[in-house]
Amino acid sequence: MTKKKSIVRFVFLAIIAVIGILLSVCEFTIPFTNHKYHGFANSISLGLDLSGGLSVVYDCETSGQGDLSSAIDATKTRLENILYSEGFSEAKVQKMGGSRIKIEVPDAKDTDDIFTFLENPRTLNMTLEKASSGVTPEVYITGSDIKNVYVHYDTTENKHGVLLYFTDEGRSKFAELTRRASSASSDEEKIVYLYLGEVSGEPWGQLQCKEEITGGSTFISGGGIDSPESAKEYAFNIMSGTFNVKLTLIENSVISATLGRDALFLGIIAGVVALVLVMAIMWWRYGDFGLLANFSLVFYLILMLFFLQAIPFVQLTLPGIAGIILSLGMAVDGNIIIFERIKEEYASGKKMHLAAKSGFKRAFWPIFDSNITTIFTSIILYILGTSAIKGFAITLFLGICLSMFTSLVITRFLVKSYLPLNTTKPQHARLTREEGVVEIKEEEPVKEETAVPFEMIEGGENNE
Amino acid sequence: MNKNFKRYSMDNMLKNSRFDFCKNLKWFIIPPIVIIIVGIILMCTIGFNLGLDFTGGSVIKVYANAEEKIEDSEIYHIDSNNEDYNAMRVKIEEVLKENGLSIASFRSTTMDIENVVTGGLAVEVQYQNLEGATGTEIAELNNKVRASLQQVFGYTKYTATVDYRYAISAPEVVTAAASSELLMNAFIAMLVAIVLILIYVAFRFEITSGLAAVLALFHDLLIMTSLVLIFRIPINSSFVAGLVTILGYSINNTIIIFDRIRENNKNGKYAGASNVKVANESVKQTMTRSIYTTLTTLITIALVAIIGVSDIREFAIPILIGIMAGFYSSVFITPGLWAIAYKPKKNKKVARV
Repeated sequence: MTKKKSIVRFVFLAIIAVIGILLSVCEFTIPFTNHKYHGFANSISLGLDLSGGLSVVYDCETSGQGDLSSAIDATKTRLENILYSEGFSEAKVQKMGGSRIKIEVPDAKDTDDIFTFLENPRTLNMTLEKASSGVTPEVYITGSDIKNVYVHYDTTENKHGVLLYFTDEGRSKFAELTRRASSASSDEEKIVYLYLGEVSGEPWGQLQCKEEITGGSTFISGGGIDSPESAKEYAFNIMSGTFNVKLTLIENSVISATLGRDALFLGIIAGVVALVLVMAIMWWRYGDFGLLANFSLVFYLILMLFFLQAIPFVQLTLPGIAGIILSLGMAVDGNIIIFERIKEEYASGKKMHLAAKSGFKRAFWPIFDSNITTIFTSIILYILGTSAIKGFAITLFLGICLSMFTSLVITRFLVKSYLPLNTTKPQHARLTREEGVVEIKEEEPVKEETAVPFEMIEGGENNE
Repeated sequence: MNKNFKRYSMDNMLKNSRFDFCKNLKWFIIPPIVIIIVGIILMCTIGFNLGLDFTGGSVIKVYANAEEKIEDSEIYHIDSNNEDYNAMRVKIEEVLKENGLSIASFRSTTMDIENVVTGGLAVEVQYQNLEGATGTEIAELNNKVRASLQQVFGYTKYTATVDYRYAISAPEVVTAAASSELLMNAFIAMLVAIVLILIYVAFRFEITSGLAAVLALFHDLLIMTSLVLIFRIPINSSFVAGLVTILGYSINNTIIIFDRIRENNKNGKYAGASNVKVANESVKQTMTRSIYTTLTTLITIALVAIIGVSDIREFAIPILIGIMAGFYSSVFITPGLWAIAYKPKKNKKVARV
């Protein structure tokens, strides 16, 4: 490789690094479009402890038969639907322990609006006959048959109302209900009665059905729904009635955004100072090689930020920040192992480029072995751990893979490109030899790996 | 050239030292054993300092010495007494004691009152709720605590003109986010990981190395746990994450040394030499790398511990301990254990690479 080619490589990598840094922190409007680009470091989703927001914990009790755990799962999905439809796309619903559900809503300040409806659920029941004293008609559709409820405005009839979507089971039940209702002799009897809550007294509303409905959804209006607001209120009521668990509020806390901002700010300061110190040590100890390691550390950081943002279920929490900073120190470990090995090879008399070559070769397996065990750990933790641990396991896994990649690929590439630029001054890479060590002139004559077992086999034969 | 040689004389000193890492094993294992025994005794007697993640409890914030701006032109002092953290702590402790409670954690926090003009002191106090209390009982007690705190800090006298609801925050109930179930899960996961590490190291090296590496891992995790017990660092779910980090990281130095031992055994340079000799030379040859890899990692986590907020410190300090324990075990314990237990297989091909 010529010097010119080396310089071209360095310039090329430097440009990539600069672009990477710019893409990670800068915000700009993409030219010719209305899209705003947020640097990917800014788009990493933050955990509640950093972003601030609401945290609510509910205790769940089954309000009927059935397995609590699957009932909670169903409730979880429904809660997520509600929160997303309310615009809290960052909200997170988690199962906690055996019977609890935790809802986290970043950036929200007031729980009142979102969560009051959860406390007075009203189950929507559908019957074929009207309830009268002493007679409770058969209930065809109940809360748990409903999958989702949306506020809807019917433009053709000019009516506000709610749109119900049934579960698969609810869909066939509803089809049967409407088939029976529509088979009535007169149009006045082709009616399905709707009850909110108990099936007694006057029905809340009724549904005209002239034919069997198999689509799995239906529109309801009337029954006090006359505005978008009231439609929303009823939608919430019906939705919370679909949970087959009873929710009791246990904890409701607002996490300060200021505290999170401060923590994030301090974390970034700690990270920058740590980065500078680590880089200084590498430079001091390994000279030019250290600078190359620092260069690949920059790549490590850019890639880390990119993946943190790209992997959808990773949320950056306070320990996560500490983990990333810690990983900066770990990421250079591979480089240290390689450079120490090169030093040793050089000290034993090898020329600089040969020392570098065998340094990388011999450092490969130790680096691989020590990192693969960490990868095991992170995979096991991901499989067996709870959600908080899972997030940590992902960051750990990511950090190890990236640090292996940067030290074995990027640093190697950099060192290869560097060697033609410096053929005469090994001390710039802090390579030294004791006086009296003779420089090996040629390439290694015999490969050591093959040489040793050969001798051993010979020895074995002699012993026989 | 000469100058450079001098500069790295420390490296050579390490490499050429006559220090015997294996013979002194019996002395090296005394300090960790003492620490672990103390840890076990503490665990059996007073137990862990469980954080709110495990116990649940209530959190209240108390502000002092700040100026609160109620309307644009007016500035009020939240408290005219010159409080300091210690005085605040004493007052708060007294109030909690009257109500049968005690402080679980006391730490300074930032003022997150929108109207505060100049900073003052802000503390966040956590206390565990009374055992077996129902939600309403807890709420009642919390309100009582808040009222007495307002009295003790002298905030009530201002209530006629200024609403001091911010000066002492309404206590928030925090449920236990982590449970013993979570701990158990994590421990099972870690045990599985350790078994896998054992199998992998035994496969890549040999069984003696695998056992020594796993013993070293137990050493690191136990030292970490014991020191956390001794220094009464509150345990929250982040502690588990810390254990995991060390589980993954501290094996690295051990593997580097075992790799060197294997190489030295193979290349014939130490043919006929005793295990002790090979282990000692290997430790010395890899010493600089152990020192520098540990140093860079220690620096980063130490900075997190120094600069970060207190929550993050609880996470960083155990890791700091774990990394040091990892260095200690990989240099002072595992090579010695390996030298005692390793029996070279005669007349057989050397282990695969």
